[in-house]
Amino acid sequence: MEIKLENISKEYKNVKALDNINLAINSPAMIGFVGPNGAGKSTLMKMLVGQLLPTSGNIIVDGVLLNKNEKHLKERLGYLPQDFGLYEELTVEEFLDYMACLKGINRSKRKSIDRAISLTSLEEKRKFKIKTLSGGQKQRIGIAQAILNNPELLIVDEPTVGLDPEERIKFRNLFSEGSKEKIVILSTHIIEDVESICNSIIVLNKGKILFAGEPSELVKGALDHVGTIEIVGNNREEILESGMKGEFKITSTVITPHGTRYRVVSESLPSSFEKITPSLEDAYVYCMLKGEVENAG
Amino acid sequence: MINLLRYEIKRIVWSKKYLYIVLLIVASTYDSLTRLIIGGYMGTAPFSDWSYTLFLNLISPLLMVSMIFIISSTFNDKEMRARSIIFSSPITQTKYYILKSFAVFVIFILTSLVPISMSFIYYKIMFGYGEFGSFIKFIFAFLFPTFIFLLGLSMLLGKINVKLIYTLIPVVFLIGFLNLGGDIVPMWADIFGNNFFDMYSLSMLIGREMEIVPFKLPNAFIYTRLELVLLGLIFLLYTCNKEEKE
Repeated sequence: MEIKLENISKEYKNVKALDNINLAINSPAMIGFVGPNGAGKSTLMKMLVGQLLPTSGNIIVDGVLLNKNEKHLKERLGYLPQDFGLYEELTVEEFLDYMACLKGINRSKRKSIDRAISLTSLEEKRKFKIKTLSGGQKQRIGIAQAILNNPELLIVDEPTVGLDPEERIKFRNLFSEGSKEKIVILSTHIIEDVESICNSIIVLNKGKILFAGEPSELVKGALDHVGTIEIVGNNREEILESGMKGEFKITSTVITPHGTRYRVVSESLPSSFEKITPSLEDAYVYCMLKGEVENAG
Repeated sequence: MINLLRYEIKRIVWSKKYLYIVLLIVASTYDSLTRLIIGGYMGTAPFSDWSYTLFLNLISPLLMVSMIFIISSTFNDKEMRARSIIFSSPITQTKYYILKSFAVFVIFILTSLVPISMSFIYYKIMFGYGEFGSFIKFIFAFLFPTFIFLLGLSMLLGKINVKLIYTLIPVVFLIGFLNLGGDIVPMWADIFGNNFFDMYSLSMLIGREMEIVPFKLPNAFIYTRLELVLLGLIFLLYTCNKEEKE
């Protein structure tokens, strides 16, 4: 499968949710969309699944414009939106059967439902009405319906919200395994999720792509911009003030026996800081910081 | 599609909301039969064509308001949130609305059977009357056009804004229950056929020469009913086909 986004923009009442996005995605791929709230991640995902129309630009799927070929995409799509509803009067099994009918799964429907239920560990709840289940279990039903048709393109928006750490790891691995022969696009706030499974990362902010590439490249770009400093005693005002001024961003604060150790990301790291190897989270923060500086410039 | 329809119907029927609706219709039907229909309409028998059409006219407002209430669930917050998943499947918007409309249509038939069955049982037990075949055409003439019109109108309004459906509920209720006649509710807004009783039957009764008042649905009444069906279908077609993507 091949997806191309050409000069995609989306405006809501003169507010640009997406600004001239260009992107090419080929299978297999496991892509992580990251960015702060309102960055445009969900808007971009809704466009990719044909639920939103761009104000300008084209989305091309397998060589054909999406708006002329929506059925082709939707037959191959699994989608988990960030905010979704389920038919709570139905049981888990009935809802998945309903979704299977919508997705046009005729042959081996029972097998597909059983597989989705098993992969999302919902066996015990299959005969339960959805309204009786917890938020995490409902999230798992959302994932189950997305993988029901074994899709060539799986788009999941904040899929691990409401899941416990063990389930999060399990679903991360599930998406990762799925990406061996297909496209999986994952949107998240949790950089750790991206770090552990994605071979490509797209950083979005204010509707623009700040970075698109491999996670290691993003980390490479942040070398020499991440450091630590330990403040002995209670002389923390100076560093906190600098942080407030936007000179650097504090990514972690650890209380030590002698004082407080800060991990910071900065465009130009002061000499008093000890340089360290950046993590993907540091690199993401640096990317955002650089974006802000460029915008201000 | 049959499977989907089965689930849509199940979702509505197996709900407390629907149970309360049915209970309300049962109570209202019982009241209409035992208090108003038992005496017959304008001196005719309780099971005359006159009395039966009056009975249909009496049960119609509550039945229609209930259906509009059920239709509103196609556009409520819960359904809107579910649509984000549903519309990621290959189902088209047109098919989705056809599915929802057809489910409501089946529910309408099922719900209508409650007062209709009650009336048949009542006639059989109270009067030993069992010739119900002649009532079928009146059921089609009085209930179906009103329903199809309101189905189309509710779907159209719901698509614009669900609050418009909630506004429609009291409006329809008032038009139906306040049997005000042609002076206040004009003919074009007479979706329940109230004018048929208020004007046509009155003129027939005043000028009658026979003991038995002949029952005849005037052509003007039938045309009005056909117009309602046509309008309802136009509204439905528009709703099903109008693109709603942002």
